[in-house]
Amino acid sequence: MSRKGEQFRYPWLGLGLGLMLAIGAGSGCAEGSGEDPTFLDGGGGGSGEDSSGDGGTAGNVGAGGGGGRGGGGGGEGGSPTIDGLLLSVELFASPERAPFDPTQPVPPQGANQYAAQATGCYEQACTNPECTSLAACCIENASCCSRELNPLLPPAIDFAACDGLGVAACAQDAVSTSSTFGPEEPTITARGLIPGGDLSADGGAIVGEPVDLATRTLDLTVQFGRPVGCGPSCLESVGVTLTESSPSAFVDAELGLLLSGARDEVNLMIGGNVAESFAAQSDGARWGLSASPNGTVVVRRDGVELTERTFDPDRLRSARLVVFGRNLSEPARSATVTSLETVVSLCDVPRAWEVRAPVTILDGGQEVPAESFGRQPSIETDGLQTRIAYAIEGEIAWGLQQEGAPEEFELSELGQALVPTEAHDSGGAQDPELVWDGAQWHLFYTAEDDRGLRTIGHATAGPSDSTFVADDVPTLVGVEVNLESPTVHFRDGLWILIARAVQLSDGATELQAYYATDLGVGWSRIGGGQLELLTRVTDPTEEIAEPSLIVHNSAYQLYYARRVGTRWAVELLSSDEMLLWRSLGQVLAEGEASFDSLGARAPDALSEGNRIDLAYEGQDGISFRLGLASRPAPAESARSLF
Amino acid sequence: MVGLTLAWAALGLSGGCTLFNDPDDNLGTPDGGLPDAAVEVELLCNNDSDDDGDSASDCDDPDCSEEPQCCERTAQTVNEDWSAPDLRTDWIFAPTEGGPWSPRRPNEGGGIVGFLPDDMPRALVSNDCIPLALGGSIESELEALDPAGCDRETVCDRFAAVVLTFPQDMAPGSRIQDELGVTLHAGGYLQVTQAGVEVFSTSITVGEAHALEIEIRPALDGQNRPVIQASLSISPSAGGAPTTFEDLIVASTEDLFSGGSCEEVPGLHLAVEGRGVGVRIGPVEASKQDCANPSQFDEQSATLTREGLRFRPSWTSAYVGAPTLASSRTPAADVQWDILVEGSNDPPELEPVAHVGYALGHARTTTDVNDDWRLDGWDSSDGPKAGDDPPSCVGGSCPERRSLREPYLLAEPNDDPVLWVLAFAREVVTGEERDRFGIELTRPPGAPDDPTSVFGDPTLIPEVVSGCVSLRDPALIPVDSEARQGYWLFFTCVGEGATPPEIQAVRVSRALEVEGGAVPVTTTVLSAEMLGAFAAEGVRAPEPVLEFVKQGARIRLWFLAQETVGEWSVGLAETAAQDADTLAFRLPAFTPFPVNPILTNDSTLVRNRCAVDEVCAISAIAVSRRSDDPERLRLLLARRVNPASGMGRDQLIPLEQTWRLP
Repeated sequence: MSRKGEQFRYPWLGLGLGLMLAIGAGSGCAEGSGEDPTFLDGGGGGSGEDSSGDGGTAGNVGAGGGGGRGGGGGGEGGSPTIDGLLLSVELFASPERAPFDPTQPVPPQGANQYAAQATGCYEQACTNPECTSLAACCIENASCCSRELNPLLPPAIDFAACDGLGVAACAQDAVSTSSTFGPEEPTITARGLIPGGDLSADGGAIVGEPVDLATRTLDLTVQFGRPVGCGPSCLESVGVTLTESSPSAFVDAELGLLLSGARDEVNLMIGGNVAESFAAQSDGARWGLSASPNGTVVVRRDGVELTERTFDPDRLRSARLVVFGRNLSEPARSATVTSLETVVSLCDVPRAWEVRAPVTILDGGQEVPAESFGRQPSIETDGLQTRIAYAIEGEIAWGLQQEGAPEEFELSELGQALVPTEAHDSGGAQDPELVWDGAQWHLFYTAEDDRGLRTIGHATAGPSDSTFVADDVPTLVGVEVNLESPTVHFRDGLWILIARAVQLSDGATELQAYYATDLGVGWSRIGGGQLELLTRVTDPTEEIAEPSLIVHNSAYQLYYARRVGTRWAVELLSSDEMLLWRSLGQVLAEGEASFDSLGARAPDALSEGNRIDLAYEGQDGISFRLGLASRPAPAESARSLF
Repeated sequence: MVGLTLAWAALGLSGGCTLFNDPDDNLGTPDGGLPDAAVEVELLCNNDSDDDGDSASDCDDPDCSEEPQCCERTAQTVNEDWSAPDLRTDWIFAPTEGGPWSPRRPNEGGGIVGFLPDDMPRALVSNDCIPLALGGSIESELEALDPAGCDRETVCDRFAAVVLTFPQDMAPGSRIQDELGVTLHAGGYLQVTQAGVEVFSTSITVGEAHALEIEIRPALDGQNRPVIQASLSISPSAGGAPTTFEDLIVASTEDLFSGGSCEEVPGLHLAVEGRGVGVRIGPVEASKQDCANPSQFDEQSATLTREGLRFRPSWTSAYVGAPTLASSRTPAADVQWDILVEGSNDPPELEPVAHVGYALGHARTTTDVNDDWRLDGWDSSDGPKAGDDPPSCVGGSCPERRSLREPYLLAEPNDDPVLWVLAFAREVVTGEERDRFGIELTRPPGAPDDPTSVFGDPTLIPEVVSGCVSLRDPALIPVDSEARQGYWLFFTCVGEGATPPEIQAVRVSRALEVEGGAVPVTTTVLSAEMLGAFAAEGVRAPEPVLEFVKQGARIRLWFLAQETVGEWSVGLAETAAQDADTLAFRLPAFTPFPVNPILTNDSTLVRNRCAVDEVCAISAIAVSRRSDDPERLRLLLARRVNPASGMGRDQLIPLEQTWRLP
């Protein structure tokens, strides 16, 4: 399990063993002379002089500098960036997956190969199976799914071995539920299942539980028994399909295979229509249908691929597996389903949220409607209970998630998390980011002083404290930029922070990444990567804001909000090592509920085992309201080739 | 009633570049072009060509003034001078929460000079949505009156604004969501904003009224997605140079409001917003573009069914569809309507399972000029005009039959009596193989109950058309005004395997023989690659309408396109030949309409009177020019209605559109 704030320490290998990847400035390196962060209380080991000698100044928009207090390598001489990437084993989301031995010099060509492979994979949406060696490619990738151990669909049913039994009895070892439909009860003979439909209606059986094909792959293998003596007008037919509709006169074959005895063909059915037809050939043929949540379906006969087509997985969010057909012949001449096998695997599909609902804030068990209009939520867990923090009227509130009601949070047990008292947050506190480090709570936030200068504030609270105590100085300050909307990931003694930098001169923005090994010492810029370039915005009709970083399934997932015109949507970047980023585009936009009918912004993600939760603000055109979304996402499906 | 022969050539005498006209438009007359030009109008307004040789191409040519991308004509949707005693009839007072408020209106001079109390921004939001997806404009007047305490170069807490907004309310204390906002602050600082973010600013003189004009046009963004774009002009009302701001993308077309008065053409709400006193906002006018909307139809009173067309159930009990529609004049009637359909006694939903058979039927009615047609009591073939009765034998109910499908009837109005060409898809059988079709061409169908027989091979068989395993959906146009040189035969080419179907065409002689015989030369008219996502899984069922324009010719082509398998929508394309004589040898390339599809299964028209638990889907469309009014087209939209339980049924929905000829 990987989640924000998880703490398990292992020997620190030293960031100074980073590797320069000479892929050039044109590969996404930030341009400019690279001024480094300044940390207000100064000092700290090795205090960041970068290669340009500009240590001690804050990361400027467009700069690619590193260093700063305790910078590069934890105070071991800075983390300079030249025309290339500074790749550090420790910055890998899963350092053990890093393809380099940090104790040995790595040949430059090795680093270049890695960069070339990653860049090539990301540019081609990780379609090459080899790309799954990159954990960032395991998102939205059917090659990187996790087989479900408690399947919702029957792993195997051998109907031909159930001669004389009913469907329920035949399937009882494979599935918990089954039901039949149609003008006549389906029958099972030594030739297999005869659905029992007639000229007026389909007959058949529903087997297994509903399955979500927007988040899961399905490999279906079926063997048909061809009817005997079936002419062009013969009705004998049998099929296996996924559908969300209740069977009626015609089963709505949303995605399935249908044997037509009249044509002696097997049809690929998509959306209730014949997408393509193939010669049935023989009774023993094993027909395979592999559906992926990216909307592709492959049909195979005896392992040989016949076609690849597209379907709409969003129409199969709660799909039932249906065996159906029509028979007018005697059983010995009827079309049958001989056997059925399924394999269902869970994938991480960032667009496929299963739950999406407004958040309710309670105080003493009573709803406080005004609090649900809090801004910039952050959710975090200490392993026992999840908390939400949000900004409201210049202060930070936080509450506890209620058991059995994930959209409800109770304020009364905690109280106001932070009331600004310091000079650097005298203008208000916003954009809270909760982090649990295994021992105490940390609150990072946008601190605005009375002149409008924005810096990153930091406060701490003990495990049982109800309020935070703020540091008397910001933890991170920019020069010539305002820094705001921090997101922080903590792992193995390493702090990684991403914030939005707003250029004071022209308002241009970008996301910048920093790291620290000791919050008391300070932050160093993770420079030279692609993040700044990918997130830089200069046009006032667009905006990128409110990043949220987690590690899930060995990869960084960086959610952020993008505004185009007036509409906000959440987008996603992923990376193995914080330098090369894969863009997955929009993952959460307008929804069907009224509270987020026009858009979504201010995401804050939480990795929770095989699930990702996302707190956000829903946009309805009048105001923004807190919401919570959740989706299944395997935590351990990324494979390592190294 | 007057029986007149309407010559195609008569249509050719008139011109005008009226690609798409919604009903009841009054189009401008053509500029005539140069006397020696091949045509007297711009045939296409997006082909970078001066078609009529008048030194003005595309939108620069007045002939194109009705095109969506060129249209200057508008219809007023809002005209508010703020003098009405009760503004609540047309405007919502926002925020609706937070207590009552009222705009301050002067006794003289009109307009609004204050939004009080001044503790927060307040807005008057139009009850009605303003359709803007096809373009429009907003005009008003702004004047800073009292600069006290406000800087000329910065924002002020006293302001007034004209805003285009999606929502009709705002949160107390916040400003209304602005897809586009023009705010004048009391000190004279003028801001153009979107989402509250300034995208342009200038300063204007305090005490001087300024006219504000916002022009909205449809456009494509960097990713070729349809958007609406704004150009703004602010100029002293007393005269003087305007300040302009161009080409701001206001919103994606799919993000526009599409309810109420914007149900057919999406748009936004108009708001005037302000806080306190110090800025006057004058009368506000808004207009929508009023030239073209190919998605807009005049819907007729009811739908046709097999019962209304008096087809007996033996061959139509389970299905009636794929209509063709022909309009002609006869000595006895101003207009005669002929409809042919395919029908079956087995439902088409059984197609994946077994061979379903189809036959063709014919119905006819006559009306006076501009009358609607009868919805029942047609003269009918009763049984099939061509094909077997019953045509389908699923389950072994009858001997094996051959299907006849997808009729197309061409009336050649130059001839008296009318000369007909009937085309349809005819099943050819090779051994055990079924469901392969060729195209049959034959001559007049006569009275509805005159039977039509078929013998031998179809006129065009799939074996001779490269890449096609079956030929479907025939349609015809003459290559000259009297069809002396024959026709272009359009058809759907069904390819092997996963190949998306496409529309092709081949030349046919007046004797109805395919030119090239066993080696015909076919032309690809439309394919998935030409059309983009909405036709990713192919196109079929061409419905061409031809008009001759002096020496040139223009063809509009309706068709069905599927984005995913089985999800059919209606698309539109057009082409033109500057020299109509070239039609005999070459079919010019078609250009898709930029805002395809024009009808989908989600369209109001298709969903209309469709129950919540019913699936209503487009199955076909037929198009014909009215012979009694050549400026109007009649369309028949075929819809299959499948209830949650029980058998499906079919409806033919009569529609009309005006494509006026100057």
